[in-house]
Amino acid sequence: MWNTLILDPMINALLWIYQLFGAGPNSFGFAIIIFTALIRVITLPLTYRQTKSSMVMAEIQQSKKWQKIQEKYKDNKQKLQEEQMKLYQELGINPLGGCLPLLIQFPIIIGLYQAIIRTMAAAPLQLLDLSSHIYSIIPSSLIPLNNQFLGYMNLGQPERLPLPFIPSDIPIIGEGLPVLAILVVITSYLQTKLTTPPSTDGQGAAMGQMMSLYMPLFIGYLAYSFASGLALYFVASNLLGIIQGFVMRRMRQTAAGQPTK
Amino acid sequence: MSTLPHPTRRSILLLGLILISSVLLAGCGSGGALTAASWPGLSIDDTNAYLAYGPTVYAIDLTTNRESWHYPPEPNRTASFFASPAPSEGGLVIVGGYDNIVYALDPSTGGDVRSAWIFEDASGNIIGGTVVAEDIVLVPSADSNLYALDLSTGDPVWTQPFNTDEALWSAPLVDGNVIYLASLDHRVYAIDLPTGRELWKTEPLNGAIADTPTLAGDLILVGTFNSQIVAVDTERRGEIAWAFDTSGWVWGSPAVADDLAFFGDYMGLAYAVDITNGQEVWRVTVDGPVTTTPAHRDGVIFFVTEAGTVYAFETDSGKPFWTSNPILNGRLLSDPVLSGDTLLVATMDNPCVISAIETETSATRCLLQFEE
Repeated sequence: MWNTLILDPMINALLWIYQLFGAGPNSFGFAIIIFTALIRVITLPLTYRQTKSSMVMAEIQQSKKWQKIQEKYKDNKQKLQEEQMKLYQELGINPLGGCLPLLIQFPIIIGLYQAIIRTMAAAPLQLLDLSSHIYSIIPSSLIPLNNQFLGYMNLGQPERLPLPFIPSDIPIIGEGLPVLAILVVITSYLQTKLTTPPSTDGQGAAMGQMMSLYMPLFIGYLAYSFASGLALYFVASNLLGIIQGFVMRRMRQTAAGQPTK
Repeated sequence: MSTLPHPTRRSILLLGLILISSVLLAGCGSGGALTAASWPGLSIDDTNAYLAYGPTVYAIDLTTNRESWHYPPEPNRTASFFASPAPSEGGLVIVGGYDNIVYALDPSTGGDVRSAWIFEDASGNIIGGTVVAEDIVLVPSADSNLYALDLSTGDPVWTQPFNTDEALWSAPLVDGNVIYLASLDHRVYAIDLPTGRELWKTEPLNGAIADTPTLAGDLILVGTFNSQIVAVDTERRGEIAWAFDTSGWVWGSPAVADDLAFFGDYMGLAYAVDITNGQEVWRVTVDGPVTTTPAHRDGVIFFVTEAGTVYAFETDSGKPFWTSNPILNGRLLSDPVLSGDTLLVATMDNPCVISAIETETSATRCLLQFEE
């Protein structure tokens, strides 16, 4: 079911785009970027609802009305919850409105990741596995994919930009600068900052701060360690997320009549 | 202290999802040295069977059925082996590592077998088996180069390695002073052994070639991912003599006996084709993909399937001689190897990693068992 509905269509779409780009050097890199953008467009209604819901909730948290309620019932948790729900009802907000789109997106994101990893197939077992996912309309002459990108990168291997002036015995950057991994950390951080609403609550703020710091580092570690095709996907996805978050923030500010920062 | 507002709960949910996805993402990665990247590499000489599988290379005495030695003495995370080991007449066993290093194992060094030399210049995994031709070791690498090394020292013999356009996943075939090399770049190359100079190459065959070519008289036979067996004429500098269409990708190469070529495809069909004209003689449906080169002995051809079954067919008719019963409970992706009247089969996903099957009776015993 998973393969039929999610993974196989994604793998074959990726191969089809790769073929459109000429199946040569750079083609697979461009295919990853275009495919990631396509998936972003397809899931846009979901991410839009999720981000919008997050923004509305953040606005409520920062509203004077909510802060007054918090102050008034700070010693009565149950009453505070009741008032919170009442406030949501008054404003016509479903507090779980942002969760469902997130849950629906989740298998798509995992499928996208798996499709990219499987299509790169740099080892015999991976290629054997890939061969069972390819539709007959995809020409087998495409295999193996040309993983070269930007002249120095093999998308099936971790990326390191060779820097002849750096001694090779220096840890981490001695074998080359992990440019994509660095970009992944930066873009992940920016995207988290842009799409995660600030919380006025102590626990929520701490949690948000932890996520905005540790998750970019963790994703950056994945990008540093695994095939650079995955890092390219992270960068493309993050950049598109940043653009989307930025546009939505502007739209809400414009709608609310606030000056944009 | 206030209650948890919903944004916080959503943050926790998001964090949970990210952590789950992180585990899934990390689990799907291929960065770990011990992750199985390929299937076991199996080979034999007069006294031992050799198996390269994951962190260890094993030598099994074929007379006593006991382990002679293994390398390295203790597995480490940096080295793993999948390419078939190549025993040499001088006693060294050459094995290419998935860590890009070639090891010349010297069993005469005693209990802890050591490497007489290592070769570290390759920048790609060694997936195809190494080949020893006289005093030269040929090493195909996924960095798309074929290296020629001195057997006694490991020093390069050619001024530069022979380069193709894609990764090399199969051992080369040596016939006299000519090397025949199949590449994932869709071509077969003929190379001068002493110098490493290209003699000729075929036109692109529209599909990658993942196994060693088979020599049949003046013809070189290869299976391709373009769902074909292609016969290349060596006397006509690599012109295509004929091509036979199969139902699925051909991962293995043909076995040849009595002017017939035997091979299987990924769709689970076993074929016999007349090598003089490329016409089909028979075909049989088996229980799973065939990704290996079959083995032949005394009028019987042995196919193994990914589903774990070994089939023995009469070569001239394709009639069943026997079918392994029960199946071996594991994926059979390595080429079966004949040792006298015994067929050795390496199994994945099964504690019994090498099974020995009597070719006459199909009686099966376990030659090498891993701890569960």
